Amino acid sequence: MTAEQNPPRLEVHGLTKTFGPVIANTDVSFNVARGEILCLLGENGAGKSTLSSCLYGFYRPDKGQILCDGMPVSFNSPRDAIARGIGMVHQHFVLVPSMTVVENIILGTHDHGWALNLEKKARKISDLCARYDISLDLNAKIWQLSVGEQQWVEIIKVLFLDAEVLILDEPTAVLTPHESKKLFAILQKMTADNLSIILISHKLEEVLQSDKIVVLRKGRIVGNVRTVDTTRSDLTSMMVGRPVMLRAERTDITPGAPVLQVSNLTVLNDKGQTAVNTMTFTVHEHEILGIAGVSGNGQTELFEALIGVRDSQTGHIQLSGKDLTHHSPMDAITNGIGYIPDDRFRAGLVGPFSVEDNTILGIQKRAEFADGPILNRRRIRNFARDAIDRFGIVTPGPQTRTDTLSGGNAQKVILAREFWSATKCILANQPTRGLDVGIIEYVHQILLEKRHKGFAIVLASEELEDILALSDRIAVVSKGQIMGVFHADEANIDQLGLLMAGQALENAA
Amino acid sequence: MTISDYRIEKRTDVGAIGLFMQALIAITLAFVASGLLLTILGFDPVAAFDALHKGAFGTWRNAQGSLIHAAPLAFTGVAAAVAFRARIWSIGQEGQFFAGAMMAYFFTTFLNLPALIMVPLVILAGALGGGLMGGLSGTLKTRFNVNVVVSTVMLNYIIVYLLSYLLTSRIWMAPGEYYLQTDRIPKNARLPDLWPETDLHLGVVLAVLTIIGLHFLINHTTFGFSLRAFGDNAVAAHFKGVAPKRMTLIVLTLSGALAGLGGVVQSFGVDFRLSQTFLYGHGSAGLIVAVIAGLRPLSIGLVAFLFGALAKGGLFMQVMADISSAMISTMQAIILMFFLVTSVLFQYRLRRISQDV
Repeated sequence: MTAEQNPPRLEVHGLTKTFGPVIANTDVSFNVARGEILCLLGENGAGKSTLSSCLYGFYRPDKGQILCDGMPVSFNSPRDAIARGIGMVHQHFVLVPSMTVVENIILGTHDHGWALNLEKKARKISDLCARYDISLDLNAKIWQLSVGEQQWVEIIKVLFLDAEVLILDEPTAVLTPHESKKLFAILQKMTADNLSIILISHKLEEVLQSDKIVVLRKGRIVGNVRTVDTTRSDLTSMMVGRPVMLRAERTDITPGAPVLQVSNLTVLNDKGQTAVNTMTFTVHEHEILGIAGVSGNGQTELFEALIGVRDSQTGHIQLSGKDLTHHSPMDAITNGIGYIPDDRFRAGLVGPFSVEDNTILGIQKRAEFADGPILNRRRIRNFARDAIDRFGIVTPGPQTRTDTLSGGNAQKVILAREFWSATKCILANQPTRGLDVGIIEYVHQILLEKRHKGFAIVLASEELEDILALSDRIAVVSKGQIMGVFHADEANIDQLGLLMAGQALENAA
Repeated sequence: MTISDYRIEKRTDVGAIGLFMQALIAITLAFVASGLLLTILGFDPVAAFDALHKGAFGTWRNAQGSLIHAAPLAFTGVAAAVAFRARIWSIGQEGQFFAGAMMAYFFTTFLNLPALIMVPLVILAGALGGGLMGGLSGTLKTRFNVNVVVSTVMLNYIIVYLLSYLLTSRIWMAPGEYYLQTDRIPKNARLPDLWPETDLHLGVVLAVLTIIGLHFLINHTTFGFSLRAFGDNAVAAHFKGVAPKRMTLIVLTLSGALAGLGGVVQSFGVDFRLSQTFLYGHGSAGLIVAVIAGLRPLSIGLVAFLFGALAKGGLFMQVMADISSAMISTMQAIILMFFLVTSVLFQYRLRRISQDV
């Protein structure tokens, strides 16, 4: 480590940034040495994005100093920052789909005068690719590339500008596990070249691959540690502000009678292609069946068929022995199936509705909420108040518009409703997507609680960690087919990963 | 150094006072613009608006006239609102208005019963005629996925020309009649006046009851809840048990029935005969009323009254100031435009922010 002798590559001193009355960052100080990966860790809204925006010149800090190699600098725009070697890789790609890789990379560079000299630039780009072991067809159009490849283009774009400090904002949010691994291999090569990396993330797996971790909470630094000196639980309690149970306690219960029985189910997607291919599985009382798979492999269509919004082509769905095939969503609700969708504001909530109206969506005709055809406002409001209390929903009141709530609180509205109406079976499709650690823990706990009470639960998640922590059995899906079913204690991540990628195992159960 | 800066922000909630202010500003601006237009055309706007005001509210009798003009617009207004609240873009109110009047008239051509039976019968027939038209658009949508805008517009033409055919072919025209209009509707089928010496008829009461009923239906019943959920997020509503096809069919039928009732109220309460010129334009005016009222039934009552007053006053203005009553349609359109513009503007506010640099 040369950080002791030389001034750090980038240093931040007492940085404060406010937006009107909102304080985004207060007195933030840290530094990054050459060849170091620093991770900015924090929940949504902790101030990570504002901080990075100050670093690459998009915002000007209200107070504080930024130093490059010990020299104070002041950035008026991202161009000033890149002149000092600081570049940003955005979470949402900023690429022109109809242009080639080379064209996208040189777009916005200003050193070419009149002649474009594409060839020379393409050579520089292919050198960069070779150096960091990135395989890219430089003449392919962006729209032809996979999401992972587009991520490499974004990175090369910044390297092309001779950046020595790269800020990456949630780079793995859109990557498959395999691509994420590849990304970190690339990052390691960069640090070997003495480049510095600032990684913004809330995924602990990735954070632990850095050298240093700066934890932000409510705009302040609450932890600045070397990665080797810390543990996952330390990090989460710093991030959330209280101890968090990472591994939800899963007691051993023997599963009971079969509840949800699916046999030979085939479902088409919107384009008329087979999305779910002759799936057969059974979920019992006291059991969580985890569905592991990269999204887009038929999970959504499977759930939609189980709910009844998408009709099945072949096969049968049974609930506690009762045939539900070709049922309507109302049948699903009245038979005690609850659904927690991944896309809350699309499939679970009516955004302009009040919180109280969303707590009874789909069950508004029940005697608890209506006298005949007339809604009983008083009883609905009492129910919503109770739900707000029990689930700790942060909202000004039951009459607040639901689309003003945060993702976590909106999810709690759904949980309150579905857990009230479901009596037998809960279908959870990525129930924790985009949520903060604290809420994820809560969702996991409540799913386990329901399992304890005898519910049959189907849980789909892209996070293998979640699946492994919660499931009794795990079904791996790829291209609409179940590649294998494992008992949770027999499964290991590598094996699941291979199956998720579509490789059949000989001993697949 | 402190720099002041203004930023445009989206409001989360406009609020009741905001809506009232918006209405006031829009109407004021609309009158200013209309006044300008009158000036350009060489009329004295003060005299014109004075005539408009006198015609609409000058006497109790004139005010009654405004109410009578408002009644059919209230029906086509709530008809549009019901469909639009469900995000179903039916613009078939015009045709359904015609269909309601025609179905009711059809019953009078072969039935002659005492008023006590005949009046409820023609009212139901009006709802039936409009409802069938709406239901047809609904079936076209749910069965064959025909765009609702397209089917309702086409059906508007079909029904209007059907009336035209029934008249010109003399099926519905009395022998020796010169104008393209039906025979007078028999007295026992007409909507009765509320009291002697007034033109206020049962249709005005029906309009008020319908507005209140629709307000209750949309806001306080489980059906209204499903309808609003379907309109605000059809996907989530589907997941939560609202069958999209069924809802589409019900909403379009209901919307059609309401517009059809309007047709009966106009032809059996005011005109006492059917003709294209008498019925024409109530659908499009109802659309405007519904949009200005923000698709809220109670507000639709108020805006329909405003438009009724404009129509009533416009007739007087035509006589007194020699200004074509087409000016009234122009003013209605101007009010709509200012309403749309101000409603967008009112969704934002200007906020001054200062920051230290």
